[in-house]
Amino acid sequence: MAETGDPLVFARRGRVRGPSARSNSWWARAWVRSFEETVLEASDLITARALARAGRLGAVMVISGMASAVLDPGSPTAVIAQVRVRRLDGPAWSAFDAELAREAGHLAALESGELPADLVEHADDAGVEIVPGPGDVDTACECDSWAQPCLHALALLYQLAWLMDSNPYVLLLLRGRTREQLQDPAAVLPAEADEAAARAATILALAQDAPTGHGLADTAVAAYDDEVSRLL
Amino acid sequence: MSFVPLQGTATLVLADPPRDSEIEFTGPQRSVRLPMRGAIPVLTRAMRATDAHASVTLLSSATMLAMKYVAAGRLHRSADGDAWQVGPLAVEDDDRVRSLATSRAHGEVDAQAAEAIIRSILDAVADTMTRQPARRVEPGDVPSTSPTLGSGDRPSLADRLAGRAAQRADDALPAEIYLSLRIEAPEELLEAGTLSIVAQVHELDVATHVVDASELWLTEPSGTGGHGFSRKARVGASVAMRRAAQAWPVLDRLLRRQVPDRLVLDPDELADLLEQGLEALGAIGIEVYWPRGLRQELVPQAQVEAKATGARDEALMTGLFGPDALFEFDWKLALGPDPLTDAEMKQLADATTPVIRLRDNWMVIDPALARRARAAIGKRRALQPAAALRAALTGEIELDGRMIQVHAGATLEKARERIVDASTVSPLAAPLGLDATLRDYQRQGLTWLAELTGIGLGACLADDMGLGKTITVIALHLHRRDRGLAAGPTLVVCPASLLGNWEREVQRFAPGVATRRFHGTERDLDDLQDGFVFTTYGTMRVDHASLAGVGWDLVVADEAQHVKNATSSTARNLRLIGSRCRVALTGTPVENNLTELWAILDWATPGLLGSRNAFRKVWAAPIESGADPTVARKFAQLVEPFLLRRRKSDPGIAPELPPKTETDQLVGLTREQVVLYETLVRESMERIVSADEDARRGLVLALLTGLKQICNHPAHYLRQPNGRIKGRSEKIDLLDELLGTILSEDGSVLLFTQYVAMARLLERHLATAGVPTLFLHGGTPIPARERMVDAFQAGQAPVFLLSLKAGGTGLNLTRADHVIHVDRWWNPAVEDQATDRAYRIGQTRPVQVHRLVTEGTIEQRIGELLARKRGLADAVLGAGEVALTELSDAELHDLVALGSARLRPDRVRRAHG
Repeated sequence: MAETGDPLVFARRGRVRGPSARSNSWWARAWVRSFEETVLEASDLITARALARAGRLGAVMVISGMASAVLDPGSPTAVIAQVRVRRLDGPAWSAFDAELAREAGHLAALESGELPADLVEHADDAGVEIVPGPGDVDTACECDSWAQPCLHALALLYQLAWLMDSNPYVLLLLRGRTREQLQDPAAVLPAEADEAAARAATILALAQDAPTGHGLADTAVAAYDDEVSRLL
Repeated sequence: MSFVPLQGTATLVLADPPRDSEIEFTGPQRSVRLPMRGAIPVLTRAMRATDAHASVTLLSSATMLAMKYVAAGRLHRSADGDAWQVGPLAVEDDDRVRSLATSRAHGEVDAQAAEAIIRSILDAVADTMTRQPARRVEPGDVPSTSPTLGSGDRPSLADRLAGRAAQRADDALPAEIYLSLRIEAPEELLEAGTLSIVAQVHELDVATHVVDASELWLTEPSGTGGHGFSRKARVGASVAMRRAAQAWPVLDRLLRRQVPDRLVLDPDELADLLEQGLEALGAIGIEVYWPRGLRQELVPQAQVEAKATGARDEALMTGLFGPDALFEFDWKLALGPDPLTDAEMKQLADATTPVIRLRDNWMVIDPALARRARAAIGKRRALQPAAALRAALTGEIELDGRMIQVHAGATLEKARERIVDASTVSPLAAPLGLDATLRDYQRQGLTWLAELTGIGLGACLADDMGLGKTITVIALHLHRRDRGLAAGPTLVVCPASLLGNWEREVQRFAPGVATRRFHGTERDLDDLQDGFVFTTYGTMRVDHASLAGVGWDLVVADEAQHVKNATSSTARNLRLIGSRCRVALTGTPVENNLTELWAILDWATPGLLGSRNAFRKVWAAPIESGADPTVARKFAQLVEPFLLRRRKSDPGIAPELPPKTETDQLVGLTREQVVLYETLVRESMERIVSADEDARRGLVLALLTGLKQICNHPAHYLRQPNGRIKGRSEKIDLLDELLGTILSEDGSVLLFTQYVAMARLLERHLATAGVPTLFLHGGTPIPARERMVDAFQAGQAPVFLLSLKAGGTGLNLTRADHVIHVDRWWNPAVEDQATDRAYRIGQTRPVQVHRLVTEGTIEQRIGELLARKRGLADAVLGAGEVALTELSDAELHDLVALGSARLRPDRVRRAHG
């Protein structure tokens, strides 16, 4: 499924203070709640926020269902932290698309950097939870810490909150949809075509090395035909 | 899989749906017929078989191509919705299919047949590769806007596929839009006092490509009935609507709709649109289009009339504008030229919605206008006579800070006509007791004065010196007595040097009329009955109290430019002397200075031009800046009736003068002049554009002066008093030619230039040619001046060079029958004054005036400007060069840029006689 779309890349931020290092939107605050609840050591939250505010995270790359950043890029102790978010499935997105289309203003609000609360509420009613719950977020990091999430991943989680504050598409991409796909659901490559494409690609690969015999008592030919047939 | 022969022909057997197609392979012993699912493995490996039949190779390569398309996700639903197909195919894809067909054509399968087979294989493989059959989508099923989830994945999938396919084709359509709003007003909504507002989108830069915004949601981009915008335009439209809703929040309801098509505005919302929405939307560039007729403008129209109107007959117009007169005005809204009736005004004032029905037309009225109508009903305001007069003459009156149209009542309109026509009605007979024959224009002047003073207004007679202003006033004095209008003596205030002249003229032309000088130490006004009293400005200033104690009928201010400074004690005290009417006389063109004009007219007809500050703001500043030519026109309308100026040169005024011919002599620039000119323009414009306001003015004047000098002669501009003269300026060549002709006919000529330096160049040039000249300039002492004038009049030198800023008023040079203006004055009055040195009483021969004008230069352009504006300039203008400093950079550039020689205007511009 080619739902990753264009990655969103956010340049490294310097040291920040004040409002830009706080989450003001309701969705960014909800995002923060979703992972803060799972952290055992309250002091880790403070340390991780300080890490992020100090500007120690490098550029943040967000792709469908995943975000990553390097801590202290360029230094010998640089580590890559990753955040993985459970992507919503096709039916869920269809339901969300339907809610999005219910009011012409929703798309315009997204374009203006706002995630309309009633859009998300209606989606919730239809069983689609845009803001991930505690179980929907997973983290990984190159560091040795066995705390889950580690400080680096926590810092990335905070930074993501600040990023999505002004750009709700960050949240939606983490849940599996690009801006283009949301604006035009028809642009989503359908599952059938995607799947057919995968089988066709395999067949093309097999055909590269197809046996040249005529099939008469030729086991290689029989095996090839069998294998291709299974892909049809 | 059993053996499938590849060496024999293979044939595609099509079926519907394509996935059910079959392929028949023929071999030497037997044939094998395989469904697509069975044939695909065979065909994908047949490519590598070296001995496959050409028909097999064709099918095989077609299958591989199909597989590549499928692998690339190039799938879409067929037009009938029943099958999957490869595609959509772009031009390069078609090329690929065709070149494959050409290379695989064989035997009786030509390229065309091969192409058909390839396309069939593409479809058959595509449909086979997607395991689920496509499902037909019912018409009207629009999943992308469907709010329900229940319709399931399948149809939505099919549509999404279709949409994806279509999207590729629609990518070329425009995506950039801008938003506008359209008002729709069907009868049933109007009845309810409401309207609907529809969002519409325009293609950026192609305003005529416009569709309702809802089309972006409801119809397809391309094809019949398609909206012709990219699918991306929908996002742009939503964002634009969100911006619109931020400007005018009522539109928020539009965004709440699934398809933002239209809103019905209730009366309150409509009022809000009119009061705030339109402006707020306009501020962010969103236009609102109204149906024709719905926004017909109701224009406030004032009615001004004398109080207690009706039965006033003509005789009672006497003193209509006198100090006791009262006017009043009210206003109504007018639709077109017709004011609303009282009932209509009331209907408008009582309306609870902006939508009202007036004269069988639905209209939408601004609530502010309705409120003003409510406030206006039944209210009349008093108006000063001068203000009523101003309103009648300009057709406008100020109401709540805005100018509105005036409809004059019957009495006022009649008065207006009399005032406007006063200078052209058939002239009165000369009054009894006048011992002189008035010339026609003097009778006309008398009539004009009599009309204006007759209805209590003042006037300013500004005829040229020598046309008989004094005798006209004496005639007016007698006329008022003939008609029984006068009640009291006439006071003349004049410079001391004219006291004797006045006294002599009254005694000569109106013998028997009492005269008295109120001047000197032995002055008194005792036993004053009637007749003339003469006093000087000086005496008047110190003894205005005595003068103010007399009930004057008429006060005349001769040489009224003495009171041009309204703040001087002379002017202030003159205002304190009351009379039934006032006449100002002046021989100098007062119109050249608006403030002086104000001072004189405000004395003659107080209040006409408003207070000095109001006058500056309303008239002088806009006229001097030249920004709005209609202001100058209106001002002329206002002052013209009170200002009569005849010139000696006007037809029929001084018939004893021979004809005068004025000719513009056009010359070109030499190469040297062109280079100098263009360089100066370029360099100056660069500096002017970046200069601040003060520096700019100086730079512009320097530029204009420099250009005029270049047009004259390079040596003039380059300050080379001893530089070579011949061959550097066509003006010199032409001058030589003209002088040759004039001198051979024993003529005499006045040679005017503004510049002493230029005059010296000409003097040197003529001396070289052996032509005797006289040279007079501003620095010439009076005795030398008089000697030169005498010498010229005596014919001692045929050429008189003059360089005088004011044209040398007072000089009498009637010996000359030619006048040559080497350069242009930018004030036509000054130029005329110069010409009049020769063309004046005493001249016996026709006078020819030659103006040397360089083509395509600023000289010619200013000349055109003056010729066009001469009429206007006569009434109010004359600021000259200084006015040019107020031009914008672009206008200035147009003025000074060197143009190619254009069509020559008629060389003979004006002729008299």
